Amino acid sequence: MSNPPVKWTEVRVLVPESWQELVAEALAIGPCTSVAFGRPSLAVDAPPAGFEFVRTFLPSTSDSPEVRDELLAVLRALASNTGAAELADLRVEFKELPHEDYANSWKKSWKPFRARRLCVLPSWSRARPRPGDRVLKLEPGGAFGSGRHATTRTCLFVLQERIRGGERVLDAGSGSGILAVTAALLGAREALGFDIDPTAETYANALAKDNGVDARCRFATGGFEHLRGTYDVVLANIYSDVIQLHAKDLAAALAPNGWFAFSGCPMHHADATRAAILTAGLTLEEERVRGRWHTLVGARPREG
Amino acid sequence: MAKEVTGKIKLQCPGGQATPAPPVGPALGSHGVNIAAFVKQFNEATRGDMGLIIPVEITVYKDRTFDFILKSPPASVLLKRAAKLEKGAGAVGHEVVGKVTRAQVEEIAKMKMKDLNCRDIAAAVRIVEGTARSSGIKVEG
Repeated sequence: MSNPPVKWTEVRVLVPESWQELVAEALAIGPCTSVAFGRPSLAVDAPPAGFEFVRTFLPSTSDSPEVRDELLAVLRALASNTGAAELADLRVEFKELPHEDYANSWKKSWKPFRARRLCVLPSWSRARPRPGDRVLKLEPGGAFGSGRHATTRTCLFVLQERIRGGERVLDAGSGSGILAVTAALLGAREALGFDIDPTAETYANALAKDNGVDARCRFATGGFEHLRGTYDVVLANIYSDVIQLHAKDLAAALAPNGWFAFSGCPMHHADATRAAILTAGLTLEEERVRGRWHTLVGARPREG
Repeated sequence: MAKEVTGKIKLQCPGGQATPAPPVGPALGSHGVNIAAFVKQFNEATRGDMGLIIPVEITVYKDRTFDFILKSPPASVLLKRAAKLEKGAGAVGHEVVGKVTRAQVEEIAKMKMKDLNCRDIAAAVRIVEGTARSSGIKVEG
């Protein structure tokens, strides 16, 4: 016989602002090891001004009138133990939550999606791609770049239209590695990515391996000091002020006749980013707009 | 990558021991965040403080990826360190188990002021003093 599923009871305490940490610690007794601050969802009324919610959780296996009494007693004693009168009469609610498999329920919001002929599938998905689609297997993780943001998605379209095969690709600010890995999937000879996010390199290497292109992808942790030599394609899906600041570095990394796609540019930064790119000696060939985000695509002219 | 923030989540979890159970599951799941990835990263980042309650602020981006920062340890932990104690009072609020100076309290208040969301240093000092009292730590001077 299997055990019944564990349900949870939320213990929600309304706390005067700045005292949340102390109350959180007082609540950390017995099975209540963790707390959350703030309201659980927008469906719950916001706390009154000057107050905040502190919430801990009791598993059904430990929830009992005795445990609840112990929690209430600890909270009642706080005002006298700390000498803070505002901690007297804290409002406490116990709310039983419906059963949910928290380890897996978040996956519901990660549906497969297509960007032109690229089918991006979460690692657990059983969806079948359409005939002729390329598949990018993606374990959604911490590093930015799931393909769901407008800036990344536009780059996925540009890559499919422009990669011919055999290119050397640089991805500045590679995040999850999605652009470099897609370039490799499309036939790039080599793709190098770097990102200042210290968690990105691990994710990107795993993404390359999951998609069978790890032999052609390299990722590093760091910034523009990783720029060495020139590339046929330079991608930068990063903050546009960084693109402006490093436009000359990015231009220098692009081989003559090579092309670039610089994304991550909000509408109000488009003029300044465009100007920085042109000043760096690059030419603009197209500008794609998705929502309020611009992607600038162009080339480095052949010298002489 | 160009990051667009959609949410900030504040939790306190035991170092090296976070799980997908509440509060992590419902707090992150409602944003579509990969809970297993967060749990793994948090536990790796905090395994040196196994079991110690660690405040963490998680930033969720529009593409449902995330990153997080570990905040300063709770005031009670800093007070116990300052008093060179391994534990606080057994009978909370009654037994005096150690002492700290007013200067140490002010130092901790300065460190915690931003995380406690206090308007001024006096408010932060008052909270640290209250924490000391409830932990059985006497403030001298």
